[in-house]
Amino acid sequence: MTKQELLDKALSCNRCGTCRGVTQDAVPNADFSTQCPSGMTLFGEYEPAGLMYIARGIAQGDLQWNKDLAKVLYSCTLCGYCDDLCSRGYRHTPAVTILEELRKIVPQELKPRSLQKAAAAAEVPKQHKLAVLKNYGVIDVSGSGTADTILFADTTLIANSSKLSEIGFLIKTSGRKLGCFIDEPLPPVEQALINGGQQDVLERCVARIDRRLKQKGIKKVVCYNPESLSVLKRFSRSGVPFVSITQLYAEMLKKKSPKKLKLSAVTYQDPCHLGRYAQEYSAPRQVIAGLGLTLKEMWRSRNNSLCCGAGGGMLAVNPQLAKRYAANRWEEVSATGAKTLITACPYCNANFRQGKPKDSKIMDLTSLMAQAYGYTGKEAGK
Amino acid sequence: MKETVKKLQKIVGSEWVRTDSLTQYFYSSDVMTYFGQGALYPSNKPLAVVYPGSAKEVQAVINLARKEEIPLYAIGGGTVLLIGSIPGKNDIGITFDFHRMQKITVDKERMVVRAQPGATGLQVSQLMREMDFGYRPYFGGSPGTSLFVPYQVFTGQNKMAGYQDGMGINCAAGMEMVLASGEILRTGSMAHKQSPGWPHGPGPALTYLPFFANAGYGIVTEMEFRLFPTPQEVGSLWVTFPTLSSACTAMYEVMKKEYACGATVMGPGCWTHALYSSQHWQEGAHFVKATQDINLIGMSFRGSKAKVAFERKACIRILEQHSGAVMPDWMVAILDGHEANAAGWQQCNSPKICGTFNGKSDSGGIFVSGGVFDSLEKLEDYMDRGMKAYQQVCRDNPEFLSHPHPTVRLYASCGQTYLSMGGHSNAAGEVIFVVDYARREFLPMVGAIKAQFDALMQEIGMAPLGVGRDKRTWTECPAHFSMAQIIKKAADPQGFLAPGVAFPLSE
Ligand SMILES: Cc1cc2nc3c(=O)[nH]c(=O)nc-3n(C[C@H](O)[C@H](O)[C@H](O)COP(=O)(O)OP(=O)(O)OC[C@H]3O[C@@H](n4cnc5c(N)ncnc54)[C@H](O)[C@@H]3O)c2cc1C
Ligand code: SF4
Ligand code: SF4
Repeated sequence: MTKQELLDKALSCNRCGTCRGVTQDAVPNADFSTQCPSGMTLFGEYEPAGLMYIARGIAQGDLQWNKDLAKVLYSCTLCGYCDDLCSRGYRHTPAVTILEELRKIVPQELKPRSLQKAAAAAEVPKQHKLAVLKNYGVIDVSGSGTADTILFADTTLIANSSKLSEIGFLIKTSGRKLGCFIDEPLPPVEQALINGGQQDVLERCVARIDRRLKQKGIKKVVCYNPESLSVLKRFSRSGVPFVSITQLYAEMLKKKSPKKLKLSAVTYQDPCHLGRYAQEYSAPRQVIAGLGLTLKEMWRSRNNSLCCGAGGGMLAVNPQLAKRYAANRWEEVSATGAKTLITACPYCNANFRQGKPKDSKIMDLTSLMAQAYGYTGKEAGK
Repeated sequence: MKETVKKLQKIVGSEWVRTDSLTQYFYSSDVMTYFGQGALYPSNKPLAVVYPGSAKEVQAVINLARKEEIPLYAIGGGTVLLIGSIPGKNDIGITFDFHRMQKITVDKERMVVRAQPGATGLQVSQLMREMDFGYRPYFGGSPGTSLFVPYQVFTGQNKMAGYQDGMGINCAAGMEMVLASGEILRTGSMAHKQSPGWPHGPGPALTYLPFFANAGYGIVTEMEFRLFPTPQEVGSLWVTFPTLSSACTAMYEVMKKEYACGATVMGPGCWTHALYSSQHWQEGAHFVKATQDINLIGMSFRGSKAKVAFERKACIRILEQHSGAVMPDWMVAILDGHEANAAGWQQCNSPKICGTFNGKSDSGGIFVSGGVFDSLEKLEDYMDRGMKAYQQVCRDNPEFLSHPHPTVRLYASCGQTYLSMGGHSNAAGEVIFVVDYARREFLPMVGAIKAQFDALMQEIGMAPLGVGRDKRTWTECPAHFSMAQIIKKAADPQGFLAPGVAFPLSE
């Protein structure tokens, strides 16, 4: 993007402040009527308009990159709310494009260390645990095996044998034939490369993924990690549909009754990359309903959902700030009266563990499904 | 300055004092300081920005600034776009940002809502709608605007000054303000715990003191607004006319009868309402382009079912006598987007909205509006026609200009910003011209367009465009301004509150 293009985009924002708020007609509590994790916590230049001012200043040469600018840039979780809300209202400031561009052009030395190594996230770890899936009859499509639909193994899944085991168990229980690139995994791409400003690397990786999907005639890809789902949906040119694993669960529940879970009312966090970025709002709710649970929605939900605070690499870059953001959300969780918070994103899950009230618990939707179909955990070792 | 920063940190906490280059940049400019190639005003950086958490902290900062002779400025929602929150000179002052002060409480007994300056109009509206107890406040403008003083300062000097109840400054019932001396002044409904929520009483009748002063008299830390009952019935009426003059004349007939509220005349292609009313700016812009030749009056009705039905019918009769034709429903439907608009836009220049929230007919306005233009020639032709129609109305109805609440307003706006937002602060009419913001080639012409408007305004004896340090006349009447300066001297003898914004910078 040229500086002029960046300036043109940044000038779309006239600092109207609309993206400070939520769009509902009525709110029960003014504390839940603000948005933007960084803006509502730190105000001023930490609000979306402030970030647009960074772009404006850099593009015009009014501002020079320094650690103060970087601090503000990396306080944003790239949750996408401002971009979405602005387009619903009176202007359309392409905030996400601008924020991603800033993360690309920021000098390397100002990038947080954890993000400087972002490219490593696209490499397959030597000690991956994907073989666990074979125990559950998942077909390895890297060899001679074939399958129309495959499971995509991202960085959070590829070396996590217990999560792989839960998913394997659910695939087996569903009776569906699923494949996975097991012995020669696909690059486990997710948002990390964008957080680190390395979209070029990401695009190359996705092109490699596309080639292998084509070679193998894959018709559908199921993603566990919403961040993988969102980047694959955005960057793949394969024409293959990428869907959330929650869709698989919703279908499964229609065909096979689960066991009754002993849980009082629950609430659900819409992960930014599942909701806003991938537009998947209904499948997780169908799963919760299918499990017979009472869902008490938080005020800011669906496209108005408030980010848990982990996005944009925040959990690694500044865990303290991520915790502060999570605290905002915990207040709203508590206000619903539900004692269980369900998430469908490994990063939300990890961040919510920070600062969790003692009397609340967090459940991953996959674990909940596995439990409901009788998974005990002992299967993992087999 | 280092020592001062340390002292400030001690007052508000170290996290809440910022002096970095980005903070200074952010608080030094708004759209008026950047407009395409030519800035209308210089961007002046504050030395530091403080985010107070309470009135006590505001008071301590004021005391410090007074002792150290450092000018103080204030920003609420930061959406005013009129340089009102930008220091009068580079590197001289400290800016207050009130975003940490967002508390809102609704007192159903006294029918008032109390809020701190960081709360937004949208937040209060949302809270009230949830309560649904039949009383509502109305706040116009961008949803991100802060609720009280900043908002009122702006709207007070702008469009809503004319409304008589329920809107703008007129529903302010009381306030808490820290004066330059550090003293805390509580007025009107906030003077005493048991004070009823009436505007003007029984506390000191100073509730309006800070309005129009852009933080020049004191810093407001809390304010109370009176709530008004939601009308039983609301209706709207949209009528098209063959010429702008016939629309203006018809409109004035309606106003003289005190029918309807928020009545507005819009010139050809003027549907700026559509810009706001539609779900998307783009959609609105297309609609405006498609309706370039429409002369339109929009108005609304509120009250009992019978009153609304009667007034609507009476207005149709009057307007039809002046060749008006009631607009088809499909066209009106787009205006409903206003209410449905997910982003919660609450433009006060939507007659329907005005009607819902207590606008009054005798203060309605004639907005001779512009349109979305795709060539400068069209814009110029447009300005010419609009201005002539407006002048004709003024000649035919001299009382327009002498009315205490301006009944006709004139302003030009350009692109996504409001070129002359300040201009209409003391103007008695407005002409809105919207240039298609997507066409960047218009931006360099802004200066020329503005100059043309300045000249026209002067020709017809109105205040020049451009509020702010260089152009502001503050009020049409020089005597009013002298009076304001006397108050300023008494309230802030050292002149350290917002110098160079509403009041001149002392040398
Ligand atoms: C897109 C858009 C559309 C709009 N449409 C309309 C419309 O239809 N109708 C309309 O009337 N307006 C409209 N407005 C204007 C809007 O009403 C003003 O922007 C708003 O009133 C400004 O409020 P603010 O809180 O953002 O003010 P700020 O910019 O924060 O401040 C305004 C002034 O108040 C002073 N101030 C701030 N805080 C304090 C304090 N605590 N004590 C004393 N002084 C203080 C500041 O120094 C400044 O001079 C629109 C604005 C935008 C951006
Ligand atoms: S990003 Fe959009 S909604 Fe937010 S302040 Fe800018 S223009 Fe307004
Ligand atoms: S992407 Fe999210 S965190 Fe970042 S500026 Fe926008 S709303 Fe705030």
